[in-house]
Amino acid sequence: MAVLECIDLEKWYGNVKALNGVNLALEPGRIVGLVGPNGSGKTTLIKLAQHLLTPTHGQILIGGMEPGAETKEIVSYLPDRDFLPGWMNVESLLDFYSDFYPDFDAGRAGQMLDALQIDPHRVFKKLSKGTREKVQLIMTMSRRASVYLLDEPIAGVDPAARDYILRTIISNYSENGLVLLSTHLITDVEPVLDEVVFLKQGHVELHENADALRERTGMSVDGYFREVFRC
Amino acid sequence: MLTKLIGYEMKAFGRIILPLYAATIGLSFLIGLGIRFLPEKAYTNWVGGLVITTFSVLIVATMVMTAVLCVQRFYQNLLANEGYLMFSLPVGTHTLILSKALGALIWALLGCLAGIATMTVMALGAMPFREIGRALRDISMALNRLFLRDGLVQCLIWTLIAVLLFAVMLMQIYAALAIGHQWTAHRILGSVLAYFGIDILKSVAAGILTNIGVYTGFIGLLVSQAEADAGSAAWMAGVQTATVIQSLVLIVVFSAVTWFLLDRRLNLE
Repeated sequence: MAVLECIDLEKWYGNVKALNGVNLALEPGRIVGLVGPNGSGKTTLIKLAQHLLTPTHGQILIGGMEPGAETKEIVSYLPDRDFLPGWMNVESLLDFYSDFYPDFDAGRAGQMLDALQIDPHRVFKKLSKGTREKVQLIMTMSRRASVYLLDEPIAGVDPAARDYILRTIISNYSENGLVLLSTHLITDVEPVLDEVVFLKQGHVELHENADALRERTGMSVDGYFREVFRC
Repeated sequence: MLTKLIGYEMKAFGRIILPLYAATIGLSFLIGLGIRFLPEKAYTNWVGGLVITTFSVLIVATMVMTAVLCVQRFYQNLLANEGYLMFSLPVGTHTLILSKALGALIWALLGCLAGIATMTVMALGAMPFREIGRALRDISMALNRLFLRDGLVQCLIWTLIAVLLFAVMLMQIYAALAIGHQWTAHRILGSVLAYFGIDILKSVAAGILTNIGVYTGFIGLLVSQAEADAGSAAWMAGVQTATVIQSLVLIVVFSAVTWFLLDRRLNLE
């Protein structure tokens, strides 16, 4: 049964159609790459799944429910920007997540912070950009969630940090969890993807198993992406 | 969840406001001691002037900072980047709004208490310790006289009205911020314009209701009744009831507007 389902999903911003009749069903236990050029609707789709936006038409369902307080209990979300309160130190952030998310594993988060030698007493806003991104990823991936929505998790970090982030995603997501990972840096994420969804001008251009796509086209996912979205 | 959210509001406010409270109360005690032990001319030189100026600045800074934080916590925590965290918590939008309003209300009340504490501490520093007991007895008697004349119930009602009027102002600001947030750019400007726009709408609504009252004869009835009861307990009860009803209606309207815009029209950058 699909854990994330879109049915004729549309989203308009004024006169601009950001999503145009998206139909999609994503199963648990998969890492799915949501790829597409800028403005194709990736962030809009993820925001709709997290109830940060509401659909203009159609439906989006998480575990069979419309997005709201109940679905946020099972969805772990990483936005594409700094979103944690800058004045709190890392230790306080662990407490915050423990307080509000019953599925947050503070022990696992502590181990990851130790592994990266991040001082939990440091104030969040005083960390370097790369370290802030790592802390945010650690918080997100330390939940035992059913769905992980990761919006451009590797966009702003150096290649070494990208490897760490991808390793963290693979080794920490729940076995029965769905990871929906939006990016346009396909080469970096391709090795971890089970499925890919190509979004083009607000509709699903392709949804396919990553291995099957490589076999069918004789190209890498990145190569096929460049073919489909050639300017 | 609401209590946890309020707990974080207390921390977020407290890290800025509590040092100001401590500095104000500490300085007020030193000034009190100075009044008691230093000669009067000590206050006419530049040191005395500096101390009094610092004290005044601290009081104003505390009041301004409380007001700024009431608005800033809502804007920064819900409508700016932190909104991505707060709106991802497994709580309803109404709980987030309520936590901000209650947090602001608690800090406004604590601000009043801090003001009373500042004056009390200064008085304690200024007067000989043996007179403190007598002063406390005088204050107690004055309060008793006040309660005897106006009644404890009246004190509670006026406190409730003050709280409600503060809540109306706060919820109007929240609604204006939520409306301004619908703009794609210049959101602060949008919020300011929305605040004044709401004021205009309130005036228009009041005008319409007044006209309806005049045409139906209801206003005339109220005026003649008020003239007959002027200054009486019934007249005062009427004023209080009208203020409470008006405040509650405005709080409900502003809360509904804020909830709708944040739940159904959220427009995070």
